[in-house]
Order: sequence, then structure tokens, then C-alpha cells
Amino acid sequence: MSAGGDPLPLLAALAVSIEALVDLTGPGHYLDWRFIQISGANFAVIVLMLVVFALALFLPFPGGRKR
Amino acid sequence: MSQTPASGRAGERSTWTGWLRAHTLDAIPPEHLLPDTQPAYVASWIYVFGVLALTAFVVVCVSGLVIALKGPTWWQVSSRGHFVNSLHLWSVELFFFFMVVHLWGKFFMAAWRGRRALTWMTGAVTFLASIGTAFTGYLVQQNFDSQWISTQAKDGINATGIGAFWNVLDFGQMLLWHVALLPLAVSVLIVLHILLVRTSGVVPPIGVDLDGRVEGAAAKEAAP
Repeated sequence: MSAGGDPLPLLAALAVSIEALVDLTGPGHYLDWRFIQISGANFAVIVLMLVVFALALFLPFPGGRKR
Repeated sequence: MSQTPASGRAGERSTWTGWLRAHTLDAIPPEHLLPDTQPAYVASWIYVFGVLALTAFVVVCVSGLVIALKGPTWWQVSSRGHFVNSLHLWSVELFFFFMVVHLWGKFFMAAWRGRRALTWMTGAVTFLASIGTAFTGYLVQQNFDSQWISTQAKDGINATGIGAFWNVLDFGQMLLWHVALLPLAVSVLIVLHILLVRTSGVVPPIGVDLDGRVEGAAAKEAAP
């Protein structure tokens, strides 16, 4: 899939990522921005890692304030 | 022969076993190896990912041992084999997921501060060794996928100039690297990494002292 001409490339990437998460039996879906090519599944994992990293920084730790 | 109670470190150093015990206890005191408490700043989710990666690694090793014992026919054909094979794959995915978040957290924390350079370096080398272990795992699946990956990897490895030493088309070599040499290297590096964390202590966030207070706050409080 080429997202180069898409006005909302991030949304298209997100849609492909979710599709990749759900359907793991078909051939892989790839995102293509100029010289960057990445599979939808790998893109989803990287986004998820960034989300988890941000949550780990900002979510309060249980019992943390008592220490 | 009667056992004499240990009465001091000096007497213990006359034998190699005593010397080793004394040096080990000096380098890693038991209270550092298995501490009861941690500094207040450790109460944050960002400090959890190291042990999560370690937990995933244990699952990787146990599932890997099972599929090594049962063999490729079992993991390719039977439903239980498929399950354990998938468990091996997904625990590796989680291992890398947690390890990368752990790496990001420690990088932005500049975790090499306070004489912790060796801790940082062992972690970085563990990450590289883990990538090698995972890549050789792709080569020994015993299916068309591994055949395709090995022929693609062969061109990549040859382009780097180390193809003569690292033949990804040699199944026996890749299998031994995947199930023996690299897991052993990763395990030793992880043990070393954890021992270094225990001896140096968990790195505090930037601008926070060992008591979890903002650096300089104690001096300001003490000032008249």
C-alpha cells in the first residue's frame, strides 16, 4: 500500500496496523513513505511501544505516594 | 576433620575457595543481592520494564527447551506443538517489546551516571546478542519461511563481508548458535547486568538524589 498521496496518511497507517493486528493469516501489508517501508504489524508494535512508554511515565504507580 | 567457624575475612583468604568467597561477599554483599527495600523513586512504572523483559526471557527459555525436546515434527504438526511454538514466538515479541521500552527509559534517564557505565554496556550488548539469537531463530523453524529468510539473509550477510564466518545457509551451524551459543551468551550477560544493577543500585531519575528528593533541596532546608 502506498500512503504517499493520502491526505491522512497517519489514519491510513493506523487502519492498516489494526488490520494487521486482526488478520495475521493473509499476506503482509506494507506502508510506504518515500524511502521508508515498514510492515503494518511492525508499525503497530512501534506505536504501541511509544504509547506504553508514555503511559509508564505519566501513570501513577500503585502505593508510590506512601513511600 | 572438624569444621571451624569463620572468624574473619583474613583467615579465609589462605585457600582459593576462601579467597573467592571473601571477594564475592565484598563485591556483592547479600543485602545488596537480595534487598528488602528500594529507593522511593523506583515506585514508577518506567522501572518495571527490566523485570518484565527478564520474565519474558524465562518464558522464552522454557518454551524453547520444550520445543527442542519434542522436535520439529511435533512443533509443526501437533496442536500442542503449535501452541508451544507460538508461545516461544510471542514471548520473544514481548521480550523485545519490554527490552526496548526499558532501553528508552534508561537512555533518557542517562542510566550510565554514577559509575554505572558497565551496567549500560552489558545491557546494550545483551540487546545486540538477543537480536542475533532471534534472527537465528527465524532460520531454524524448518519451514518454507525459514528457507526464504535464510536466502535473503545470505545476501545481506555477504554484503557485510562476514559471510565466510557466518553462513546462514548452514542449518547445523545456525541451530547450534540459536539453541546453545547465543542463549548462553544472553543468559550470562543478563546475570552480569543484574549483578551490576544490584551492586551499583538502581539509577535515580535526573535531578533526584538517592533519597528520592530533588537535588539541592536538603541543602536549602538546612540553610538558615
